Amino acid sequence: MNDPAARPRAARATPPSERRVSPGWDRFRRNRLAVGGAVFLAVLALACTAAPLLTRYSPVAMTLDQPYRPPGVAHPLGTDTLGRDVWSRIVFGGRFDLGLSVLAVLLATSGGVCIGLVSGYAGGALDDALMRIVDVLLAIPDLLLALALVAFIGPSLTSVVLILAFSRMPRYARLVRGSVLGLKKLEFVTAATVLGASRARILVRHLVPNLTGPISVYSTLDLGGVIAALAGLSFVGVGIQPPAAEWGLMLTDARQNLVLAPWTAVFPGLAITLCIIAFNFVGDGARDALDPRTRRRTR
Amino acid sequence: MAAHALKRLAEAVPTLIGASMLVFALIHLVPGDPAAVYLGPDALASDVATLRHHLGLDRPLAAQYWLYLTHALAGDLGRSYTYKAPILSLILGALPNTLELSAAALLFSLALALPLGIAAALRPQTALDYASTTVAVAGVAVPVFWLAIMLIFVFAVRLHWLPASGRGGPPWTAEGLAHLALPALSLGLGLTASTARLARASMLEVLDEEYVRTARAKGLRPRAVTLHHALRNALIPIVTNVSLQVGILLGGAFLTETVFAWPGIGRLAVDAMVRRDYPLLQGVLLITIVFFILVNLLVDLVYPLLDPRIR
Amino acid sequence: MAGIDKHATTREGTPSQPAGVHITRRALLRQAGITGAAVAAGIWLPGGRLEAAASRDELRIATYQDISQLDPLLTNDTPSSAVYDQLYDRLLLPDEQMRPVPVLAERYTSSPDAKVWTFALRKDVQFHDGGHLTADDVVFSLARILDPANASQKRIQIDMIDHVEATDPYTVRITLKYPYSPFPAAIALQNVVSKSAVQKAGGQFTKHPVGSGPWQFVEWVPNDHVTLARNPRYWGKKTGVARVVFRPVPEASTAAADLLSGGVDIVQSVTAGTLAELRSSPDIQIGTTPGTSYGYVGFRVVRPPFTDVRFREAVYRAWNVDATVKAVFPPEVARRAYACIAPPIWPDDTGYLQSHALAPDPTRAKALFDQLTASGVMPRGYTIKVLTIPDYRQKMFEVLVTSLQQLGVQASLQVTDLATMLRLLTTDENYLFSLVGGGGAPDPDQTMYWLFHTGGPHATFMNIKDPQLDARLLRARQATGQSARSHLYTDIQRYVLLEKIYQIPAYFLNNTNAWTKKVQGFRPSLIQRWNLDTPWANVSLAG
Repeated sequence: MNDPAARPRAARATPPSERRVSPGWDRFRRNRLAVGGAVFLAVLALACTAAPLLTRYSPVAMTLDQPYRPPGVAHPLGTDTLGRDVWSRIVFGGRFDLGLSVLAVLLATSGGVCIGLVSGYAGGALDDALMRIVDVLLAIPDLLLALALVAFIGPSLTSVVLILAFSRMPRYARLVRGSVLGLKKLEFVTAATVLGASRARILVRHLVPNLTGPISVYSTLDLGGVIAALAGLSFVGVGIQPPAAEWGLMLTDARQNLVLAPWTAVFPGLAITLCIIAFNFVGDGARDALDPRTRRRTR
Repeated sequence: MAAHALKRLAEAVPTLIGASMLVFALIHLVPGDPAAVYLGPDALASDVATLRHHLGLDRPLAAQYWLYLTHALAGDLGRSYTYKAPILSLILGALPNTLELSAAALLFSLALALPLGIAAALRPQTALDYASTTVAVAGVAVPVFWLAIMLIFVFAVRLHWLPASGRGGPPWTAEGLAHLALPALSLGLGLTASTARLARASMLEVLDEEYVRTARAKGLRPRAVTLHHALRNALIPIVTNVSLQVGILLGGAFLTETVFAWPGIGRLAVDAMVRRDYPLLQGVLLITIVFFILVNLLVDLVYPLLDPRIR
Repeated sequence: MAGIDKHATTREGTPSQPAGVHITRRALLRQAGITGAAVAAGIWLPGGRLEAAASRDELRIATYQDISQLDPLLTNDTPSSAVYDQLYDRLLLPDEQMRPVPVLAERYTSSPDAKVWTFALRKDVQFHDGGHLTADDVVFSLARILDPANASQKRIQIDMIDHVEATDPYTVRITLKYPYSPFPAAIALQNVVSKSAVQKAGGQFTKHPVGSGPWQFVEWVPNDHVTLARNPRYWGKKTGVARVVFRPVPEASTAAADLLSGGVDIVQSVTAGTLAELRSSPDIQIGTTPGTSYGYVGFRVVRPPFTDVRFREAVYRAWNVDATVKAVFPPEVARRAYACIAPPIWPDDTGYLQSHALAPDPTRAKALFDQLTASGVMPRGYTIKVLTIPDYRQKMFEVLVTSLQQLGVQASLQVTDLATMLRLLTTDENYLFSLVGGGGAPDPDQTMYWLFHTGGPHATFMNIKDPQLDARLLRARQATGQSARSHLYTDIQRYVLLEKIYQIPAYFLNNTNAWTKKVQGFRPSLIQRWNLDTPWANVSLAG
């Protein structure tokens, strides 16, 4: 609990040298929720990768005369309307949910970082113009953007990733721009400028490393949101196209059967819910570990 | 201050125009012919063409946008293809219901999130902290329609305590409140996580500020310190966040409104989309965007008042 | 859902640090606490405060969508017609055996060649506004539908009318363009409106609907409810309940919950998942009548391989239609179709068509696909595109697509909404799709002509242009006598389904409603039109 009086907000950013010795990892490790979340996600990712080893059913193979089998020995999580194995659909479906979400967040992050860096560092008219565009994109409902984009490029895996990435990019741009504005005023950046470092060098060497902390925290938290959004896309029919397995699709299908065959709704629902919770825990843990403001309080 | 307000207001104008153009373009990009949907699959091609002409859909897109823009600036948002009624009257009929639901959901989420967040901050990294964080995060993690259907099943079908759907009248009547409870609960739970997280974070921070430690050192009772000194200041970012949630509520309530058959603008928008009722869809989206921009503007303007260091 | 947390981080991500500005946050907290308590109180209210149906003299019906219009000229969708059919009488009404029964018309006659039809009207009929119903109103109601400028969805139903005239105040004479013996079935779909009320309303008739039916209009709050009240001037038996409220409840499981918890008395549409729950409740009655709506799987035949009948056979054979329909539709919702014309409507050729229907045969299907690929009709790696809207049909096509994929044939399913689908079915592209045809009228002509005649709505989606078929359809329409026409339609059905395989007959939708056992005298209708009160039935609520 060594702490100077209230520091200016921007002081949270630390020069690269200091962060290397930061005990953030220790703090993260002590947060049991965060560790639990990380372990859960790791196990899930592993299960989805090794899906063919974990089930003898194909995720799309139907047995029309065996619909709504409750969980049992043959089908650990039961079967759905068309007699498809729910467990197989969960582990195979997770490939879409986890894979596409991570891909979308990576895309959104890189796009957002580029826009935010340019906007925040350049300032002036370019900044104004970019931020107005970001405002417009933020003001338009995601769903309309999604429908229009699908109309353009047709429903496919690519369009799903693009929709998810594109609808979230403006938020990353805003976040990055805000951080850059704060960093620009800091001594080490000013010093680099005075010393005659080129703009590109300052951006890459000094700004980007300082952004990784907040960006990775935000991305982790956002992954939960992306998984929810992916399920939402399936709900309105512009996500993954059936008969492929995807959790949101499974849940949408099953919502009428909550009473008749609860397992068809409960397990995909649980998968989505637990994933979002886990990403939130990990993100929170990472923030607590990296953010000096809360760092002070942790014992 | 006034200059700042004017500047922000001026910035909002291009945003609004840009958004309206984009909305117009996007809506017309989504495939589908309003006339064909209106007449249904059993219609003759010639009738579809006649109706297209009636609706002015056979004109160039730019001409349609110009017509729309000039009328909109004059306060006329057009007439709905489906309902044959002025858009403004349809929106004004539905907007209060959405605002009512949103307000109830916000209040509910605050009533849940503040105690959760404060409790977590007072005992960080303990079982209490973990439990309250889990509850708050679960609220946002459970898919909305799933939660809504479960709530209906438990409270309406099994327990017969609350009606399953619809609006029962003004919220100050017993009937109105009973109808409002479940939709507000399921919408509000989704907002709890971010408020609780924020409450926890800012409480943690405030509790560590000098003046709070000073108050403690002065020997004030811990409870008084918590409530009187810490909570007051921790509330500022929460108020900001809540005002931003209004935007989410207006845009994100459509699922809740659909499941609970709540007559708000979210359902108006969904129906308009399904029926390709362009003027209605444009109207609803435009109103939502104006609302969103206004709330943002308001937050921008109020922010410096709350936190002098921003000025 | 997709919108969640969209706006949450627009303020550059992080909250500012608090400072010592004091606003009335305590008041805010107090307010939040009070409201929270109020909401909690709402949750913990004791059971039994929901109104019992019998004590309210008001019938509540859950529809699946809000109405769009109350002017029968302007719309034909089921939720709207379910409301306006209570407001406006018709000359004739199909009874439970699909026979047209006189309502506004006391009796009717036709000329021997079935070209001129004369209807004698009741003389004791008053509109809701007190005006008397005369032949003028009937002429007016039909003329506005027939005017092409109005682009009415109803016009196609009575397109055979040449002109309508009032020969005296209570007699209407209708002359057709060609002999049309099923004309009573067509006229039985048309509502009669008040001419003076339409003229007085000046374009706003849909908001001030005036008819002569057993119910009159009270109010409509969009997306919330439509209320009708008993018409005290009604010429027939008065309604059994004082008021009826139609409430749109789009989510089927919510509608079922409303029925189970007493919020509504009748649910207009039920789905597979909710049926299981409704069946198990002792207070709920589920009623089914065999409906006439015909769900087909159509080939949009634009270019090869869709244009090749062997390709269509291969798709048909690859897929077990019987098992699919059984797995996807609960028996209350639909039954397997082997014909286009649903059995309550003649001719019933089910026996022949069923025994000659293509049986699922993956081996033969595979051989056909291979043959088509080898001969170059079907390009190597060709992807069969399938369009569907997200309802039962999506499940049906999931089975079809999976079956094709298991044969090594590439197939992709695109789930979309009706608007997009109708648009895509006008493009230059082969598609497999499913729509519902027929069901509008108790005569084979309307089903078959709309489905298969060049320029007919469904024929356009399938891109069928078959002059030989057109000639046969016209002959069947204009022939007189049911047995002669019956033969012609039997031949046509065998030609389109067995010989040409223009489409795969999939299912007939049943009309299924669920209601609480307090509702008396209610029966689901045979066609997609609803009447609470008819000359032979009267809905009421038991005490």
